Amino acid sequence: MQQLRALLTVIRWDVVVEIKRRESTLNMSLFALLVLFIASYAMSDSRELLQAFGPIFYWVAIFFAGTVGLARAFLVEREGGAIHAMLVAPMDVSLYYIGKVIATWIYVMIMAGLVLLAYIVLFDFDDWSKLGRILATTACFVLVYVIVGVLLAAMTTSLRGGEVILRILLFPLMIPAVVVVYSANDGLFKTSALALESPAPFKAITVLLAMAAVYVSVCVVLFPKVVEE
Amino acid sequence: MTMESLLSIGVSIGFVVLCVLLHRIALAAHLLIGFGLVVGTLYLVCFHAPLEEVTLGTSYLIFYFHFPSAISCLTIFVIAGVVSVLQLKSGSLSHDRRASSAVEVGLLACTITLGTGMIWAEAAWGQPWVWHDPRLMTVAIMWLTYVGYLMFRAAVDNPVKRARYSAVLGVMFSINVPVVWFAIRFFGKVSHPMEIEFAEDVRTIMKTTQWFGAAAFFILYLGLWRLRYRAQTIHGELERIGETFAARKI
Amino acid sequence: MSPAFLVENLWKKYGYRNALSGIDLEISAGDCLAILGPNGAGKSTLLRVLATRSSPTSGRVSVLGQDVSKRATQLREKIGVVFHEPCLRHDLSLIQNLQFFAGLYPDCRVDERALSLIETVGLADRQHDPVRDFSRGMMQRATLVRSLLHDPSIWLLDEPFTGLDPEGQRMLETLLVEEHQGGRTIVFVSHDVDQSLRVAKRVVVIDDGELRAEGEEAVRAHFGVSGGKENV
Repeated sequence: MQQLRALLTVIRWDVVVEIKRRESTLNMSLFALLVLFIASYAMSDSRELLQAFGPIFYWVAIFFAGTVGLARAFLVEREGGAIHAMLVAPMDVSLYYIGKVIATWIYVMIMAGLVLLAYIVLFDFDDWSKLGRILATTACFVLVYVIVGVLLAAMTTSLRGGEVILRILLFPLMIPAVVVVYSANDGLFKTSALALESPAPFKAITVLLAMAAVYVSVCVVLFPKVVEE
Repeated sequence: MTMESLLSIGVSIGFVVLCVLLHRIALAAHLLIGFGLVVGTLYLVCFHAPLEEVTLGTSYLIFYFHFPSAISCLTIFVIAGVVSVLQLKSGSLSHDRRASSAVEVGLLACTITLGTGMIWAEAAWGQPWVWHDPRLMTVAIMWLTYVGYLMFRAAVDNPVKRARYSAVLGVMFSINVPVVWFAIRFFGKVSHPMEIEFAEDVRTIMKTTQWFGAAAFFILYLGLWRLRYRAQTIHGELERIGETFAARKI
Repeated sequence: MSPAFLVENLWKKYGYRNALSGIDLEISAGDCLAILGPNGAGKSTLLRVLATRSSPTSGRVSVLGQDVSKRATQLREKIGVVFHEPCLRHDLSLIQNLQFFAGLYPDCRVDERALSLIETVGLADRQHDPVRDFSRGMMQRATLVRSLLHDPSIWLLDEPFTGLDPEGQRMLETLLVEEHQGGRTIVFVSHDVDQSLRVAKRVVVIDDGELRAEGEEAVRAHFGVSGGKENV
């Protein structure tokens, strides 16, 4: 019970502070919106172009903007040295990692929700029946993203050029997830007139969850090694 | 179990034993043997292997350099992953040097794989690169990940932290390789098969040349790994002496 | 009764450097121990090992009779630590920091006792201000409260007098004596020989990773100091 209480404390305070200050969420969302604005403008001449290539920019926006949030995941704890006090608390270190993953997932998903709204407006998306599966696929993609990203952020926060190194390390690790969501793009975003044969989004969700399970079981074991002295 | 599979297992075990024994001989001798075997591969390629393959023509000859590098880089990255696990358990800096030097040599092999692959692709397909093929993408992503690994190491000054963090990355990246492979295999849109079709009468000599080359290059890469490990050990020793002097305020 | 700490042949290596070399030390429950030594001697490293923040390279550390390597998570309930850094979340106020850290300990709340501690350290009128606006001395006072929040039986402090003004130093000396009289086991790292001898019941010296001296006479002889204020 105490471990659960500690886990909920880590999640609650990270999310509460972020909702109050909106630092990470705002920065991420603005970055993502800029990407979508530029892409939408570049393809504004043709509705077909917008619908054909829009999904790519949807994932690109989430992918790149998410690193802004990840880079700040441990900033507060490292800045004030609070991480040392947390690591001598009677809380399993792996639970601290899980707490950070859940908290980061929440506010990256807030950003993803805003990105989806912007996508609907800028890329003329009107197939409302697909919204549920788009959100579900996005949620699973972001889950894999933060599972890997939080571990890497824990290592890179204190390094010189850490933000750049984080991106360099994160992107190759995320390519399998990108391949999976990209393969499901047709089923997720395209209208029936443009849809090609593609793996069903449900298959993509299943594979993403399997990836998340693999990565989280590895990261939970590795995280104590990252923070130990 | 057939005779052929028993023979393969026997040869594989023998090869592993040979590699272990090679580690005990002088480094210069090891490298000489490696170079000698690579020259032997060249001899086989030039004078024994047939010059044309059924579908790919003469362009297939680069396969005898492409395949050994590919198999070597995969094996060496797996070894780097295993040594990374050992480093996490023991905290030993020598394990860190083994893992990082393995990654450097593996990256060399990976670069050669990509380079020879692109030359071959240009000749065989008319374009140096195609997306969605599982093998090409896996090797390209491996290359990116391990370049990132080396860049990361350059950014960490503290040797103890660098060793620990690199080991964490080594484990993560070695798990990533099969994940990438399966993701692209099942979700890649177009697959460009790359099959070397051997004519009946030359199959044996082609297979022999292929695997002889693989063994030769692997032995050479192992020698390079030892060389790189030695260089890192000397560097580490210099660091230790520097720290000792600093601690004693000399 | 089990000693608060039993350290047996403790070694801690960082790469090629031995930060601690074969330390043997027993700290009885209810003791008040000061650890002195020059910069880079290994004092903070020893404290971090005792706090379970850092694990030994070899050797054995027991806390209240239990092996730290097997029961670190449970033992941390009984240990309060003041590190060299303030160890507070800069995005929160003092009260919010205490609420956050209280959530990490069992049966821990920001209650009357905590508010009384805030009063004792002189931060009652700043408890709702963001910690990032605090001075170094104020952060140190806030850290004292954070470390005692869960009423630990063991209190570890790494150079706790750093950043405190003379009034703050007197406050902390009084607090250390009171907490010790209340039954808490206290171990603190310091540079001030006389202050340490005033506050602590026992003093040891660590130098170059080894235990070099114990007791007032040996400590004074080690540093070549007599009575009067002396720092090392």
